[in-house]
Amino acid sequence: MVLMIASAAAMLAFGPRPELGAPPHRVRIQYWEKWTGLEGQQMKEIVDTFNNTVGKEEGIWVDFVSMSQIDRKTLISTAAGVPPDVAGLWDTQVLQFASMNALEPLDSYAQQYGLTRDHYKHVFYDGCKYHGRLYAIPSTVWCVALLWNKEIFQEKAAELRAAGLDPDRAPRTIAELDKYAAAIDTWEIRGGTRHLKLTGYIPLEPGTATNVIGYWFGASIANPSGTKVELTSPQMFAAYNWVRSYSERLGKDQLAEFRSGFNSGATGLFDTPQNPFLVGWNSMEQQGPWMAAFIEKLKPSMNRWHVPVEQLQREKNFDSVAIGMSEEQVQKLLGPGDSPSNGFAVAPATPSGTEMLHWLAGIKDLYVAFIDGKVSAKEAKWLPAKMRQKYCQWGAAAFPSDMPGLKDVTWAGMDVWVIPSTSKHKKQAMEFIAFASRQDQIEKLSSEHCNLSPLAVESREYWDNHPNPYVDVYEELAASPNARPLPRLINWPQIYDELTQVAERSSLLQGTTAQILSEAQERCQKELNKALNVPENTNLDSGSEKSQ
Amino acid sequence: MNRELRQFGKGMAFLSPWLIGFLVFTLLPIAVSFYFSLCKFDLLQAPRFIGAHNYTDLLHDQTFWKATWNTFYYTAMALPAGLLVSLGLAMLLNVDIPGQAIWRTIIFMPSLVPIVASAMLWMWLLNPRLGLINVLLARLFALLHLHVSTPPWLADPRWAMPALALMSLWGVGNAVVIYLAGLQDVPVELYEAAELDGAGVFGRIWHVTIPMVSPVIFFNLIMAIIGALQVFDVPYIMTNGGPVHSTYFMSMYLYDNAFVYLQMGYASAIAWIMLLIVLALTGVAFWSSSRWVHYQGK
Repeated sequence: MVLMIASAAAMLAFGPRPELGAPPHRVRIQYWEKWTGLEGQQMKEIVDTFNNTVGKEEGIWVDFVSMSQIDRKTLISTAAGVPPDVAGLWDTQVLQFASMNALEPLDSYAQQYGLTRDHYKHVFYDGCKYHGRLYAIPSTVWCVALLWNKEIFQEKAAELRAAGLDPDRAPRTIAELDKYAAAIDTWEIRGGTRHLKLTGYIPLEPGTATNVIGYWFGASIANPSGTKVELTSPQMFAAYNWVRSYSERLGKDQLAEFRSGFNSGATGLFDTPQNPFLVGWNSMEQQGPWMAAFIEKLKPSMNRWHVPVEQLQREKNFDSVAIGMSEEQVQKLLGPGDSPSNGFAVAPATPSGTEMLHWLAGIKDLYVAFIDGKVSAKEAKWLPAKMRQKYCQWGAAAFPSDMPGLKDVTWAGMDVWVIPSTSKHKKQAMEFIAFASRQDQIEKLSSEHCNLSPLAVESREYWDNHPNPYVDVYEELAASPNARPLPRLINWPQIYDELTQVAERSSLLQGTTAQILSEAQERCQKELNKALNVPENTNLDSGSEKSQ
Repeated sequence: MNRELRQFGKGMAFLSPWLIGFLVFTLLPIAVSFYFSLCKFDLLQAPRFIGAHNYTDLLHDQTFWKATWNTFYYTAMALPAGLLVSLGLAMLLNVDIPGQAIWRTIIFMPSLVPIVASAMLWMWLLNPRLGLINVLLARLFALLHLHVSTPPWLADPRWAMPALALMSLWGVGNAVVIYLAGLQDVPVELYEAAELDGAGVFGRIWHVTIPMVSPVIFFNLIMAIIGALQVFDVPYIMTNGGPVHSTYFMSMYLYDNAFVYLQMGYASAIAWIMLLIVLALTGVAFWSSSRWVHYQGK
């Protein structure tokens, strides 16, 4: 017993300690972030830059903690009175947490640092507001677009043309999307029964924006003040009738069987090599800008369509170029180089003895620097985003809308930074958020995460170096007046789950659309009333949120 | 007396880490959760007492009833299947055959695989298009000239629950080990006596093995009841309750209410109902045990 107590005491007194690293006389703030792995590392670099620059001047030190389930941990730590000073949450939690007074209003702080509405794309700034007050600052943001497989469109060109459709572009209306899908759908016979082999489009695949699908039909899902759920509008009826129409056309069982073959699991995993869009089982899907990163990681050939074979080989061989290699060796690996004169392009104004040489590799420019004839550095740079589009086997376009005149509709989602209301270092926390929101920092982070910039104006560098070749399509959509944030409901996670049921029931043809929606409406309104502390059977009129 | 007191003090001191842990981290939260079940509580704001409102709300909550039904449905499938398969495997592994230890290891090994890995593996096995189970079934159907489709498993609300029950058999290794220990305690003389009385293989199993391992069956039954009613991780990973709530269990509804919808009071009420159901079923099992559980020497 004594031995046990002695060991425990010794462990407590002399046991290992985390490396603190904070210089003295700095106010330490805790920053919890959901990003792990590479994304977490990229944010950590920004934290390190802050600690070594602004943090040094202002006497602030940020401790970066990367974690999973950050929403739950932030909630519990806030309830316990020991929250982080900055938390990186999702937009889903902003209203939910703000309605419980868990977040610090940031209006005056944001004003002080110039983080105003005009500084941001309006949809993101507005999505951070609740009852007229700002409770979050957008970090990396996104919206959704229609991705289409150009190769499948070409393979099915005859069928598409026969249906009066153009195989060289994406559909522009919902009616057109349905026609494209029907022309592409392909069946096969396996084990004596008919099975889907290839689909043109499936409304629930991958499900990224299924629960706000009403937006593309002109529906609002909830009133602007967030007091009424509006699931029984004609627009919502049209949206889920459309979801249903695919099961009626293809057969609900066949469709369910085909979808389950994607092995996307409970959470609708799409970042796997089995993603049907990557495998070529589904020719169109609704996706966010991050998909470009997964294409590059999981099926890079989709980004190198029709790239000359020697350039593909050159890109591969570039990995073998090592520091200290001679020019001859490099030439052997990469070929004579792409330059108008002697096979090498000399980079502008290099230090004495340094020669920068250049090769084309399809979607990348390869640079190798030599000092005294030996490799001293190498770098592969993307071609400007727009120039890469011609090499993509896939295309991105605005997801079509069902209503004439309703163009460039999208759901705009985001990650955000918040300051919990019980944080002890709010001013310092805002100083850090303001630093991370600077154009150079936020654009770097957004590009690295393959998301969009929340800022109203983007830099030239951002456009050129963004890993998504179609960043222009997404940026245009996010800036569109028809870009919509999540419905302004304080219990959105609950309504989200109800809408998942609506979509699944519609797809499995369980009841009529009107019946499914009216049942969901009743449940959702009841739950919303409960969340708002409104007595049952109270009729709340629609109203506008004054602030927005 | 002093010596006895000293002994008691020492005993309590050794017991104290567990006792304090139990009181602070188990008993107290259970008691507090009952109070929360009578409150509207979202974690961030002080609990507001609302009486039995959460319980009456649950009575009218369709999702709760659906989750309760699913939980019982799963229990009704997974529990007897698990008991039968594990007992059957244990009896087979108790037979003296070459490589017995290897067979035992093979049967036990799946229960060592982490749940997430098992779930991912079974998602592949149950994949309707590429999964091993359907590939084998398709060949079997072809062999038998049957023109029937293979089950869509997790994609179909009718098949998703049987698929999860099937998967639950993957982890019977633990129960098999317990049965094996029980089987090895059965006196050989009883089998010899039964054989002399003319009992065949099934007669010996029914009249000797089952009664003699009935305390082990009883133990596994209680553990299986508790396990089946609290099932969470596998459906959470594999189906997240879908399709259309066909695999949505009480424990998942509890979790969603507590940590996603932030309705801690409502979640506490669900937890208490779950506890009462587990207690009731365990009570029934104990009550019935006097009729079918036989202890040696009694």
